[in-house]
Amino acid sequence: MKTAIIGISGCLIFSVLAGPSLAQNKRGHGAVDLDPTVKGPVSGIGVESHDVVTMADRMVRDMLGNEVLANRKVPPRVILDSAYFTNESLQRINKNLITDRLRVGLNRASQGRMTFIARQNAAMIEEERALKREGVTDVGTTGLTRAQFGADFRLTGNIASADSRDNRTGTMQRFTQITFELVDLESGAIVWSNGYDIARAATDDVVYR
Amino acid sequence: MKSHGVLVFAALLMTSSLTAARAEKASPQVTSLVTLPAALGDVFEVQLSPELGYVETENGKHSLATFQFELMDGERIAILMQSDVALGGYIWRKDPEAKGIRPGWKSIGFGVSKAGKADTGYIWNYEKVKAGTYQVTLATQHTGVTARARIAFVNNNNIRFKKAEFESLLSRAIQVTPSAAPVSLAERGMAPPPVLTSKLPESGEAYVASKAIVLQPFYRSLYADGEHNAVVNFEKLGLAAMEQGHFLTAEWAFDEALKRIEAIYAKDKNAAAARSKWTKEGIKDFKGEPYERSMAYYYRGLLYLRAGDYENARAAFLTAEYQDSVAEGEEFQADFGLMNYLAGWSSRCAGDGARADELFEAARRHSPELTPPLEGDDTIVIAELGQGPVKVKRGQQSELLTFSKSINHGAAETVTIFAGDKEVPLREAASIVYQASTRGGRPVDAILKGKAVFRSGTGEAAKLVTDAVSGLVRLSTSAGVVGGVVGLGFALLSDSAKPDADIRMWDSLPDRVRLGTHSSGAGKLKVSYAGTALEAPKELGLTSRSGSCGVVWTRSHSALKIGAGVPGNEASAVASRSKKNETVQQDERFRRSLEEADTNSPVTEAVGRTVQ
Repeated sequence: MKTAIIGISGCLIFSVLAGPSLAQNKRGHGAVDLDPTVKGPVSGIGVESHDVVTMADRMVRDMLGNEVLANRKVPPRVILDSAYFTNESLQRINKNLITDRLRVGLNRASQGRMTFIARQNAAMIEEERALKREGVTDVGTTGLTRAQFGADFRLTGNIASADSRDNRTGTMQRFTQITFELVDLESGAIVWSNGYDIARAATDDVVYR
Repeated sequence: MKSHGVLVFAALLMTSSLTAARAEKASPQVTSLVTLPAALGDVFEVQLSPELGYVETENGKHSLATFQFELMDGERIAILMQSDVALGGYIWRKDPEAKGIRPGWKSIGFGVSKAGKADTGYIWNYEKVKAGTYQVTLATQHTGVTARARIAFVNNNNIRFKKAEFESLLSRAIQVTPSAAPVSLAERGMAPPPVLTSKLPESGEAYVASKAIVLQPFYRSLYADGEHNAVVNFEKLGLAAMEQGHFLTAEWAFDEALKRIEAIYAKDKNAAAARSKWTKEGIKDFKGEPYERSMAYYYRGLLYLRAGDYENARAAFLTAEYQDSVAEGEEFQADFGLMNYLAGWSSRCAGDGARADELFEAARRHSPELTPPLEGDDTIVIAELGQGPVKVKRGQQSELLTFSKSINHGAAETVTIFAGDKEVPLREAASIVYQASTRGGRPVDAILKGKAVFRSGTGEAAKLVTDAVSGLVRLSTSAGVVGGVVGLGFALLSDSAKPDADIRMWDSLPDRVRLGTHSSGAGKLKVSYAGTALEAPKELGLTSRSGSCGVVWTRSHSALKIGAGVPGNEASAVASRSKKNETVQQDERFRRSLEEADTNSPVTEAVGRTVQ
């Protein structure tokens, strides 16, 4: 079971990048709404919320432009979840933040040009199918199907990072590479791929080096 | 007259120009010279008797006891004595070229303590102290008598104790008995500095009372100390919670610690103040030395393993290794084989065989005995022994941070683990003292304001340390150094400069870690400890099987017994912080965030195996 936490690394204290009144308010501040698409008042050298939003949006646009995925007569069936999305980086992260946003964004933007399979809920679906067939419940309004949908394509991907530190200056630098691929579940062919790179650096106070 | 014996002895010691013939004729006979290891900050009470050791002069036997200690270049030491009979104190420095009464030892100084009265003595000033090994011998001025003496070794700059302070210091004396087998200081280890916890605000009482009883002392320290010691208080709470099976609490506590470790203090005023020569380093918010930061990731990684979250476990262990590394340019030199091994284990559990092999190989390069697990092994067993390293202040103005083994490092401790009737072979995976006292595998003499002073050869290291401890203040204007004013300026500045090293520490870490792997099908686990000084936890700290792998974690020293609070926390740093509005408000926000966090968790897993 994954922990529901983002490992946001390197949170800047007292940053003045955004919301200066928030960062510098000595008495603290009640909760305020932030724009998730821009850097917030707390930031670091790893993957952050605005990265998740930006990369998901970019991937959605790119997938919609892919002939194999978006313009078939019969909408392809796609599984978009984190089961085969691996984290090899040094950052602890909840991968569902990325894959959930990707799935929701693509589902909405594709407007029926793709069908998304909730494979992570297969057990839930089987449970309901059993109730209908046993007569415990009625058959609902969409009727019965022979089986759950099989999928055509599935998302795989990886988060990797390269970290370095200059001991003279105390500067820490991280390059994070996030790759996305859609794999044909019959042939194994990679029908679509794209990547998102992040390179950030920060310097801690000398007393912490 | 009997009392002349000591004076003769003293005179002989101080005069190095005696001929060999005269020296031999007049030479006192020293018998059973047993040396007790001492360190700055130690206070001892010892019995002197002819049976335990004496020096024989023409008048008879003068009972004695000898202490040995190490000094760095420029360090100042005051040795305070108090005894029930009149004593003489003789100070020697190890010098292979010294001849005379004690070949190989050069006489440095001499002091006298009158019966019943306390006396103090500076050995010498900072300009004359050379790095080396020193001994102080206490001897009774009269022959054939026993004595009880207290002796304190104090690192101080201009010591002028008042009587009450002196009495208070000596009242902390630890009883020691010279034994036939002298132990070196390196083997003995040192006691951690005292714990000081801030006063708990009234608002904290209800918060603490709402927590699990066994963990309340840790919550009390956490709430009282505020953001200042939040990292180490979260770490200690997390470890205690892990032992007790409060895993959600442990996860929360370590996540909070790691959040702060990862924070960039780019414009933090307390960090800036800690850089200043006018403020003690201990004013800054604690993050810990690299080895402490690594261990925070290590424990979080174990919790991820327990939950079956192998990728985040790997990320945690890899970051643990990264935190302990030293970068020279773009390269960093990692030497924490344990973390590579655990990252490899996590990769194997996650089904990433190639990465696992790579990481096991990296672990084996650092620690050849860490061979990869056998094919069918699906459970990792981790046993922690002893109590972790102690931070010590050294230097003329206590500005250097050094490390020592803990007095409870438990060299004699052993652990045996059986799975069914088959012993699980355990290998030494990490020495935390080694990690603390090295940077990328290079031994470190001391840390000065975050900069490591490396042992790099005869003379050079001493010079580095001398430069660091010389205490000279370089006054400068835009035109350059203002010559001639330096001497006067230094005299004025030295009284108010406060460069003390920050020795706050995570004292519930282990001294060393052993690990092994086995197949879960082998049978029920049984753990046995031997040679444990402190009470070992009665139950295994963590046993779990989630996903493809199991993890078993146990330790010989209970975090609960070691206790809450932060050793090395200083009243002056706490007082300085309390005067800053910004810090006070920061602590208020911290306490509000604690109250809002929902951290109460029942014991989520039965910890069902008994440690024998």
